[in-house]
Amino acid sequence: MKRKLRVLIAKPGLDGHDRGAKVVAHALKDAGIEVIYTGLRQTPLQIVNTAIQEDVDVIGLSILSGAHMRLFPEIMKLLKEKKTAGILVFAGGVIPEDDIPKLNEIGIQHVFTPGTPTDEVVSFLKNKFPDRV
Amino acid sequence: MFDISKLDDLKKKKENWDMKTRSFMEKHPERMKDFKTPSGTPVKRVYTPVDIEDLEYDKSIGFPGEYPYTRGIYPTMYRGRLWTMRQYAGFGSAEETNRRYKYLLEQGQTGLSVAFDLPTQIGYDSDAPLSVGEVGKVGVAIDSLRDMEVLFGDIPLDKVSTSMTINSTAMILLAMYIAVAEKQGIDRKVLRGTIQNDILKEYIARGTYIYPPKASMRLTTDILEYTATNLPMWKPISISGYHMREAGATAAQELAFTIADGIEYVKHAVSRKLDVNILGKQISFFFAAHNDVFEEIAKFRAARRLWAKIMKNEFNASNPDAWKLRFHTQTGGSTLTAQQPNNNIIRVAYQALAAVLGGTQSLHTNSRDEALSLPTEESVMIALRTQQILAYETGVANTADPLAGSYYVESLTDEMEKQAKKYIDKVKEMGGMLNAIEEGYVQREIHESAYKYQKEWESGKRVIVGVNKYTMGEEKQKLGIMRVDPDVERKQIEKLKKLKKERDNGSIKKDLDEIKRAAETDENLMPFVLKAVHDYATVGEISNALREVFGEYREVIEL
Amino acid sequence: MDLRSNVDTLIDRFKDGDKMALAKAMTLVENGASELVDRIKSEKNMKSESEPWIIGITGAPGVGKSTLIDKLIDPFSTDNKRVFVFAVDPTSKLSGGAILGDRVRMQRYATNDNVFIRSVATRGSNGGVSYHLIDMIDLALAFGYDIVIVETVGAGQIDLDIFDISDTTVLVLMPEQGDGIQTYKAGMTEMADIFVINKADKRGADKMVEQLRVMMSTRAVRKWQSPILKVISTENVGIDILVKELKRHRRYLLSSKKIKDRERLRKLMKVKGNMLAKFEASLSKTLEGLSNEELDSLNRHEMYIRILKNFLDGKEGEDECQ
Repeated sequence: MKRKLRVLIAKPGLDGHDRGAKVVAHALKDAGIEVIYTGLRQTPLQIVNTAIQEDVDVIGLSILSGAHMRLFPEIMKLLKEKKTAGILVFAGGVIPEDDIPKLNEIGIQHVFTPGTPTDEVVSFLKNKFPDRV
Repeated sequence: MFDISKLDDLKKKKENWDMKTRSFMEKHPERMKDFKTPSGTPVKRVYTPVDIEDLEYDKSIGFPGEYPYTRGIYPTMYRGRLWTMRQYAGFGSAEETNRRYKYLLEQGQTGLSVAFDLPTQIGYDSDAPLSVGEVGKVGVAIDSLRDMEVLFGDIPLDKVSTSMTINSTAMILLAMYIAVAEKQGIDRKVLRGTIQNDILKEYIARGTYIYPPKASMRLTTDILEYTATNLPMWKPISISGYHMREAGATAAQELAFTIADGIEYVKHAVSRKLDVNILGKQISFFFAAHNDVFEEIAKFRAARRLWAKIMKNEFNASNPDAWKLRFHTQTGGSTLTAQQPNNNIIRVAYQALAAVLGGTQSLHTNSRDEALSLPTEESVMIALRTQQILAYETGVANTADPLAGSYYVESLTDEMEKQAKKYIDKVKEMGGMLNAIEEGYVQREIHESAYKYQKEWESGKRVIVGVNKYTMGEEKQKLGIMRVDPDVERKQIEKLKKLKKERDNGSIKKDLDEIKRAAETDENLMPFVLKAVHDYATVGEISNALREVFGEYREVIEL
Repeated sequence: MDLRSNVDTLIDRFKDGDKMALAKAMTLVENGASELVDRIKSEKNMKSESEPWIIGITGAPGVGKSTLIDKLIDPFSTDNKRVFVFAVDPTSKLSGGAILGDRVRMQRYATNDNVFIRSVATRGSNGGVSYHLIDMIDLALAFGYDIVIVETVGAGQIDLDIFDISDTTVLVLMPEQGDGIQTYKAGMTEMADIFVINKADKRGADKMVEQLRVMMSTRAVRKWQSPILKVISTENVGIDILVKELKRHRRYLLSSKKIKDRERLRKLMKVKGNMLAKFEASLSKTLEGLSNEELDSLNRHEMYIRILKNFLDGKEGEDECQ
């Protein structure tokens, strides 16, 4: 039996727009993945601690408030400090194209922009974890 | 509504036509097997008087300005006065936003609309740990009365109407607005405007709640009570379906849950002995306008009819003014696409048309780039021009409710009302909206619609131009992007520090203690908050005082 | 380096109190590596100063279990106890995936060193909890947590696993809940150690208390009379009394030696869960491996023999997790 993929869908920042996060969570569940959802308004430390406690393989960050350039680096820094090697991080929400290279640089593997089909998120994970999904 | 013998004749002719059409379709099949509105109502090939035979003109449709207001709440509608063109704006600092307001007023905008940043909306000061990265981002940052004074500097508050999108902290921001007006020497009795103050939909869809629902409802009702006597021209609540729609609700759900929220507010207010006739005049609504033009129009018409019946028959309001559903409309943010952003101009135009044909009292048209970031000045201008063209060039404003009598629109209006009634009854069965929210029922219904919609466009069952059809490869974000000055947060924190040194901190402490004391009782909190605001207590300080008494809410996850 | 593939380091770090090691050990055990629990228990000096305490919180969806637990953690952790919460949610039968959202209501503890929350999907198990939950509980205890709280959905049809796992089981109800307590299996109300009527400010709370009293009066008189408590967890009303009653029940278990019965039940459940997990996995693998010809030709008895043989040969299908 293959080890089930565990994904944390987290909402950093203060915005309450969770439609995207919930739709993605639902689609991942339908793809056979175990999704842990944090709810709104999570601080970087809450997100990283949750990822550790839940021993997730992946963190998906969803933000629409525009605070990503402040909060994402903080999350990546904490992940590094706590030596959580191997957790894959992706992001989604309202994130301008210009910011994406910078986010990739700090270790965010992929940024999904508005209008991305959920299939694309699922196949992204299938690609990264071919024997797990 | 029609002569029975003629109807019978018509039914026969229709059967005949159906038969001929079926043979026509053998050679020329239709594009799709089923035609449906986005709410799932089947759309027929053609509509005839037979589809609305049960309607009685005066009972179901009536005249503009008369019960049940299907045709609009004013007898002359836009022949008298056009709708208010109101663009939601606000970003960064109070200074910058003040400049944008003056620009918009010069461009012919007729009302102001304030967007606040998230810390202000959730009751945190700019220097709070959770505010990191959020200050000035989705709206203007307001920490104290001092910022509010700058925001409305040189704008005579007796001459404009101001709409503030503020909910959990509505009492504080309204108090600040009153304080600014007083400093301008303006009597609060003449202040015109709206605060959203609709906490229920925050739990359902928008997410800027602070306290548990019961405490929040108390704050909302306190505001209703206070404004009823002190700010007679003010609309102290804007019951909003817009955000539920954004979260994925169908038009029918938007309509139903908004009205159900309305029922809950009136129920609470009435239990506090507020006069339903005054209350009815205070309440306003806020809906979205999406792409399916006729369904949207039907939604607006059904909303008026439903609300009028409820206010008249369920709450026994006797004043016709209390039966009227007044509403603001915003075009659908979630219908905007990041791909080919100029297409959004067209979408917004059709949505605005639907809002106007539906009889809206005010309208915000989205800017084409809002799927990507805050709108640029140029995009905001196009959006405003869209409304002006609609008002002055298309002729749609020249007669009241021009689509009345359309067999399709009337039948769809009826259908929307029926669908909404079903949801409203279900909510009632659950003991009202507070219970339905606590049990996650409304959230679940909306999420299911959102997920269904997602799957439909992903599978191509639903076409979105530029997204799953007529795509052009890499074409995102070719427009200039508006960014908030990254220094806003630092400057805002500095201002806050300075303020805390300069003000009389002794009286702040007393004010906050008084707020806490009053929060434990049934006293109306508004006067206490006004006092604190005058002394330059901050949004965060006042909210934290209430957090101590009320506690904080955590959401229900129902997926 | 992935700790999950280096068991020795994992155990070392577990012994050092590294929470990441605990989390990864949980994952291994959840995926069937039960031996790991034995190894850790034998290597770690298990001088627990206090007896472990496992509290089950069960009830239908929407009755407010997570909020109740959120409010319970406070008084326990101020007692200087370390609390571990397992939030169990059902796996989708259709996809095998799950959305685990219970911790949303307890997220304020995500930065509290004395609290650890782990979401668990029921996976293949037919019961209300995962087959390996008891192994995971053992890990939490071995790591040094004093109190383990298990939250499960205990709606009508679900079986009664939680009662066998916990020392103390709280059944959470709410007023206006459909047909009320009738929807629960008889056993459920029979076995609950404490009844909580949450959201007690809603209409019908007193009626529910009455219904429960009537129901209780028909059951045999026993030493522990399950209390019925009215609670409004969102407003922290009644939580103090619940904590008192929980502690009183624990004292009762300790003084009456009932605690040993509960421990025995738990050990049995653990063996059963482990065996079922292995057997089900092996069974699935054997079934998948059957050709159409075999399906038609083998008789029932031969089929059973094949299945059992494969099982005993260790073709468990549940290979250790990479």
